Amino acid sequence: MFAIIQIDNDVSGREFRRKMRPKYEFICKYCQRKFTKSYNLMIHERTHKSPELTFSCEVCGRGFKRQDNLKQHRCNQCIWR
Amino acid sequence: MVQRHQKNKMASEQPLKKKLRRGNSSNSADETDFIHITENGVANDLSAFHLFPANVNEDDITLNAVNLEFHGSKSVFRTSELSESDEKCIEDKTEDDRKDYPTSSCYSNAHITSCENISLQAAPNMVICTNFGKKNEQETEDLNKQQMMVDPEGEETETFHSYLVKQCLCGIPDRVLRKPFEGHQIIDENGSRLAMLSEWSTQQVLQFLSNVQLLFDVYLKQNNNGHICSQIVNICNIFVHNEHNLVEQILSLCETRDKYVNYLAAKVFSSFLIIAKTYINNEWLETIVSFLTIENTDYVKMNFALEIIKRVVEWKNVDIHVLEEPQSADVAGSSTQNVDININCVTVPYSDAESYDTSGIKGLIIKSLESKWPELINKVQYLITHNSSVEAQTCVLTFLALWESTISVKANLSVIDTKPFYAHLENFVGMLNSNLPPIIWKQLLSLFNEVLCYGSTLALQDMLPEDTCQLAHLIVRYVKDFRLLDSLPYRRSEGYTVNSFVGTIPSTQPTQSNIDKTLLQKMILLVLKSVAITIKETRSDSSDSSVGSEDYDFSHDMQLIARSIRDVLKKVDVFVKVSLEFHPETPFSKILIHLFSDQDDYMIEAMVCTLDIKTGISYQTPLAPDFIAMLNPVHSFIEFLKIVSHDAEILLDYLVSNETCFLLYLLRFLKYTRRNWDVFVSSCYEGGASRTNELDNTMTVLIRLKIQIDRLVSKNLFPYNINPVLRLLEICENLYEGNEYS
Ligand SMILES: [Zn+2]
Ligand SMILES: [Zn+2]
Repeated sequence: MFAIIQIDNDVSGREFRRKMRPKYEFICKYCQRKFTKSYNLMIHERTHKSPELTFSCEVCGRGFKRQDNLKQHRCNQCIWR
Repeated sequence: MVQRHQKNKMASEQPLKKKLRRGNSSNSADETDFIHITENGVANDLSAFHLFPANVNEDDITLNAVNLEFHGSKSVFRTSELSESDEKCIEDKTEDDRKDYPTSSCYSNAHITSCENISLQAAPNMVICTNFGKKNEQETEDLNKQQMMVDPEGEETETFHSYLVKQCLCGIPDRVLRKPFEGHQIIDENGSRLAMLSEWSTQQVLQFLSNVQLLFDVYLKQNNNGHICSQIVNICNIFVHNEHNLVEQILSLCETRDKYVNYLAAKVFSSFLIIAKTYINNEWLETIVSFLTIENTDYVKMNFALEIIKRVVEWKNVDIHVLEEPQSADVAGSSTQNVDININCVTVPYSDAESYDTSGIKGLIIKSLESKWPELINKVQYLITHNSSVEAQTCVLTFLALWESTISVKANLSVIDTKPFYAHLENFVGMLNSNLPPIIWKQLLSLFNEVLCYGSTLALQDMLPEDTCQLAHLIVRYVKDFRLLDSLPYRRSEGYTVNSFVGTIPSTQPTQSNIDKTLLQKMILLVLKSVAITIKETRSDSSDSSVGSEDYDFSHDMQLIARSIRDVLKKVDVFVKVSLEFHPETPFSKILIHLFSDQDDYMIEAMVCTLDIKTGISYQTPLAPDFIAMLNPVHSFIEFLKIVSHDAEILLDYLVSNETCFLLYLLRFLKYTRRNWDVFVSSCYEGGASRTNELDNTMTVLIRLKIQIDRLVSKNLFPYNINPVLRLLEICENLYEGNEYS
């Protein structure tokens, strides 16, 4: 516990200490918080990002974050959907 | 220097909440929420500065942002995320212009999903159609007076605006281009000269600021797209190089006591900082932060400064560069379809990553804020306890919202830069008592919930920061020993109303709801997070000490902690049952899901907390059967599936979007299920729920979800690596079918 707090306070020594404590290999590129598992870092980093547009309308190509938004969407070309 | 600026590059201006709307809204012209104007001639004069043609699409936030915000709009997407407009609401509501809040459906976006609401408030000189009356006549008179002062240069401003709406200033005569920024000729004892901004009429200033805001909005949006109209770049350079001393002049507008001018000037100035980035004069920042600690507090200036800092801190970089985005992005679609875009526009490419980066200006402004922080904390503490005036409370609320934004994971600030802002939190826990106004309670609870960023961060870390743990301990102690729950002012008292956006505020109008559910939700979530953090910290302390002799102490510690945690959760259980009038026998898992049923991000984070509490506390510690039943994660999941109508598509939406921590929840829940398959099966049959087979119901949803994920993965459409979840779903399916798995 104590050692970790020291790392937090000591930016310059970070590189060196990271080698000493391989436990904290995964550092968030947005906020520099430390994680021990790469998947945990991935989950955390999603918080920093803007939502992805995964679902897209096959007619007009517009992207949506959610399927229900896609279903509700009406555009000029696909009004008949 | 110009070179340096040319390289600047920024993401689109939409703060996160607005950004969400891009994806949400559909794309038709009937969604525009333009303001309806009476036909007394007002429309013509005002159209130049804040009315957009009907064919400007609602989706095109950049264009409408000015319009909406100018009218003090409350663009609210979640009741829990109101910080930006809270304080304005109070301010407005306590004045007698409350009636101006339209209820008519013509102001709401009927099209969109449940989570959007927009209400507009009349701006000065604006008359909303529901609002005929005496006020109307007086405003027409005011307007006539102002018209006489508007010189012919107004035309250039209008031309300028019409070009801006088309998002291109190419082809605009240089005279017209510069005129709106050079100001108006006035004649005084010294002869003819250019008037300072502060000498302009309110209408002219608002018109000017609206145009500048739109200019910045277009710049930032095009910046995000990778190409900016060269003339827009030129005119923004005029600002960045501070020709005509415009920067100081805009800052000086905080002297005016017009709340609309103040509001817009703060917004313009924050956009300016985001465009200029670190190419700024440090004195400007010093001026701003000096407003925070003026000895004889000037609340208007203080709030002005807080708003500017808050906007810069909250600025959301779009992290996927538009050039990497699939063609499908609706950014281009909405504007090209409805507005004539000048195809001859000469653009300048802006695409290097460095020019995107706002961390420089964010860092500068955070450093400036830090220098005033201790003094500011003292001042705010004093205001909370000693000054109940609307002006003071507005500053308090803006301050708390700024604090929350500063430490928010979403601000993308370095945890090293924000460390100083974690001090002093404990003083504010002590202020939570029944004398504190509900609206400040709410803001403080939001702040603490943000500090305890469990689902996004802390749940995923092995070592938790000490200051964060201390806050969690304090909350647990206050609930256990100091009746924190009982002092929560969630019941509406005489003379108050529960506003679904803002919370409990003074009002004479009666409401249906007698309780402020948002306050309850924030309080309970905070307690659950605090408990989960306390347990996690105890466990990681122990796992860190490899010395065998400490094991006994750990187990002893854990038993003590388990006892107090049980005590705290029992209090939560009773408290929620009483406040929401549940039958005393209702299972805890059920009341939690129902408490949060209209707030999915809270609900899912609460589920992560209870799951982690359950797995953390039962580790090496025998628990009382009633306590085990209370925390049964399977029961919570079954209740949750009922809320989402057993619809696997909704679960998929939760997984794909990052608005909730559902990915983390599902991952952990599936791991728990795999490890405790027998418990899972037996829990599905118990709970006295009904004779329906919850095992089949639950597994059907999970198997459908697996198929849907599979489909997206095979088309390469899943936005991140979902394999760990997919594998767990397969394992659970195999267990369900009684198959062996490897
Ligand atoms: Zn991070
Ligand atoms: Zn152009």
